[in-house]
Amino acid sequence: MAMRIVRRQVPLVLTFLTGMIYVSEWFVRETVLTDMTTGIANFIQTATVFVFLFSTINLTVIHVARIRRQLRGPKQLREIFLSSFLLAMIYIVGIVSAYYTVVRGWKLPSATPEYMWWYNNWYLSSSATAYAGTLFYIIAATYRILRIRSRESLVLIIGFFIALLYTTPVATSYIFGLSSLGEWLDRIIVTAANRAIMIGVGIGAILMGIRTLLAMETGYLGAREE
Amino acid sequence: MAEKPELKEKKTIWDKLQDLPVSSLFILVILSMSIIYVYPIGLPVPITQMAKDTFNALNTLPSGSYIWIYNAYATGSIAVHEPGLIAILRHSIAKHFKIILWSADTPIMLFPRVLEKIKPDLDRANYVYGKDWAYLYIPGGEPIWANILQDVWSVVTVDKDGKPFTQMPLMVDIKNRGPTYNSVNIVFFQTTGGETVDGMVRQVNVRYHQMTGVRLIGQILEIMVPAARPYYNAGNMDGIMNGGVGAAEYELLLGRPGAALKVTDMLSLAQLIVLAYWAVGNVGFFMKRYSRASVPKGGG
Amino acid sequence: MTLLLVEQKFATGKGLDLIALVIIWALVLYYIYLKKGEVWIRRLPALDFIDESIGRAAEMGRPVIDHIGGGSPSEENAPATVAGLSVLGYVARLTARHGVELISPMQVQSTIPMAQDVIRTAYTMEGKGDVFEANMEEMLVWAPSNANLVALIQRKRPAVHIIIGPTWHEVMQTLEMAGRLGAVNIGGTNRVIQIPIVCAVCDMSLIGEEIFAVGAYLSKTKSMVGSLAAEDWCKIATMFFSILGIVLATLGPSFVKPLTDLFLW
Repeated sequence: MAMRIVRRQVPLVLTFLTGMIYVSEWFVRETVLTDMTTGIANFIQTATVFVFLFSTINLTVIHVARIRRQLRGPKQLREIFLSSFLLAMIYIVGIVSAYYTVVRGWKLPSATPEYMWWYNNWYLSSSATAYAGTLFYIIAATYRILRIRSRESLVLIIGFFIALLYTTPVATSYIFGLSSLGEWLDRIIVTAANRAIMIGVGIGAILMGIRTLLAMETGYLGAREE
Repeated sequence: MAEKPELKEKKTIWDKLQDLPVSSLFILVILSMSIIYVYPIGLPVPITQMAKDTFNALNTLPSGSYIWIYNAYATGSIAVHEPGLIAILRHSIAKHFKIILWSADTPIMLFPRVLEKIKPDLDRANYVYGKDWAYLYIPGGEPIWANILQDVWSVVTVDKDGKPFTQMPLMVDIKNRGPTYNSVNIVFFQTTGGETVDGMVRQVNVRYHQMTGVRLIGQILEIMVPAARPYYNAGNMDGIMNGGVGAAEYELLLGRPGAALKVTDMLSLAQLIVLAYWAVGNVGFFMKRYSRASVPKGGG
Repeated sequence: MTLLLVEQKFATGKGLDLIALVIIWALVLYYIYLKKGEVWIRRLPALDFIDESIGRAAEMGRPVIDHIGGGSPSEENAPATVAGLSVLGYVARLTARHGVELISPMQVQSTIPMAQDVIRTAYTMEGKGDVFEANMEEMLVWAPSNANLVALIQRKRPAVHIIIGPTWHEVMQTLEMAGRLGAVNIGGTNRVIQIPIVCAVCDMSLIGEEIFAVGAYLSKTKSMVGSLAAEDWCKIATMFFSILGIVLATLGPSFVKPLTDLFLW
């Protein structure tokens, strides 16, 4: 019973109190409230680190369990090598290098040549490459999917065509009137549509916030057993 | 007994146009971008009103103003955001602004690359770290920005390398001027996430613009500009640097052409190739709809 | 004296905000406690589509992949992350009921424990708690990068691919790959930048605040449905003020000034 109260009720009360402090701070010019929100923000920063630590441990447990369960021979080793095993190795290297920089004197990793070498030559290049891979999916989708199959798709395609040309600097330089047309489209049509969606999303977020404050939205605590 | 003839649809030129191998598109795009990277053509870049507004937001401030730069870009957008940051820093140094940068971990790791390129400007203008510019490590989102602009000393008291603020005349000066927002004339942010735009408008413009006249400009990806445009049109943002193209326009306005112009060349050509393939695909689709190509095989 | 003190303490320019907030709260409480949530809400086609698609997955014997994008519960996209988890819980119940394999790749570490809890509870409610415990490592996968997600989709060849939550650029890659493999794509996001992509590529989509309405639609509890009704009234009020502003602004600056002053009160 006590565990149930701690697991379900205490987070709800904390959520409500924290939310009310933030709401009050927005409307009332009181130093106490500002100090409380600063304190809560600092607490959130600290808690985020613990969440990261907890989820790292959780992840390690899941992958170690998977490796133990599946590693019965060289064939299985090959299968899980690229996923769990390599991940665990990279984790250990990362943790060791981070520990190494801490021993060096609490400086940020950017001050350590070894870490910067690893970062610039491995992480930076692979990360940028992976992000650049998005290009190929987008252009493949543009070619395959954007076909004028109906009246609605015709309207979509016309907008796409103008937007793509407008964002191509060489086209705007040489095609007369494209710049003004694109600017008009951006300023009037696109802005109006985006404003409408943003208003809807904003109102939805407010109601979601109210539901969370009033303990109606408890998805973050796991499903309720009514 | 003779088998019934099969009705086999002959693959026409229109089918082939609709079904071009996507790998050919990839190869063309990669080739064109690689060639341009090595041999830039110097394609024209028209300057838009938005780029002029972004430039003027900085240019019309007096010397000695305080510019706060928040960079939240990732390794993936380095080709777009790094030239933008370099252009803004060059402009700020030329105008003798006090520069305070703040970010979380990734941009700090990428900053040595930027520092290498702006070092000649810093040396020419006799900029001293801690006195004329500073870089702070402040992770966290919107709640932290609200507190930074209220009182940065309550959030952190050391810079990214652990140097205490008490040893930095710039930060001491900011403290002596009262709440931090008294030492914020313009905020420039860089991001790949839409929430930063909303958050910056809320925490900078909505909170402080009426009080102190603080200006807000930002560099965001092209895909995010339609979502940020309402803020620019309404005056919540004084300018938007439209991704790589915006950075190229800024470089042209500043008179210091750089990496962004090369990126723009590559972008122009790649987009034209994609457009050409799309047009070909749609021509094939349309013509296929209005033609017949079923040919029965064999005889009766 | 008291009034002066209140005036000094109250932040300027936020009077209308406070009134609006109080009215919204009042509306929510009215619909929940007085109307008892008895409000008609239209069917969200995307959610009914989920039911049919999971049935299709059961017939085909192929798995369902459901992920919530790149949001985490500790930042601005927390409401959308929670909405995504609501859908994940619903999908988990359906897959448990039909005996379909569910794979839920998570991009952010901090959502893994929450997703674990959501799926475990869903499976337990369907009496299949042991199935979840036995297959947890396959069911809940950490896939922080887009390459991981795309490779997972290529390997598993799902019948249904659901991505509802705060999405980033992974949405383009995963939807395109899943579509190419013949999977049904169901998407939804609150992030304005990604909405056009989701709508263009998905077979069925949820736009903007529809993902927040999803929690209400799925649960059909009076509290959730009541707040949905309040949300719609807020939109109607916004439309009214917008039209009023347009008309007054057209008439001239002197006509629109009282309205703008109201917002600065």
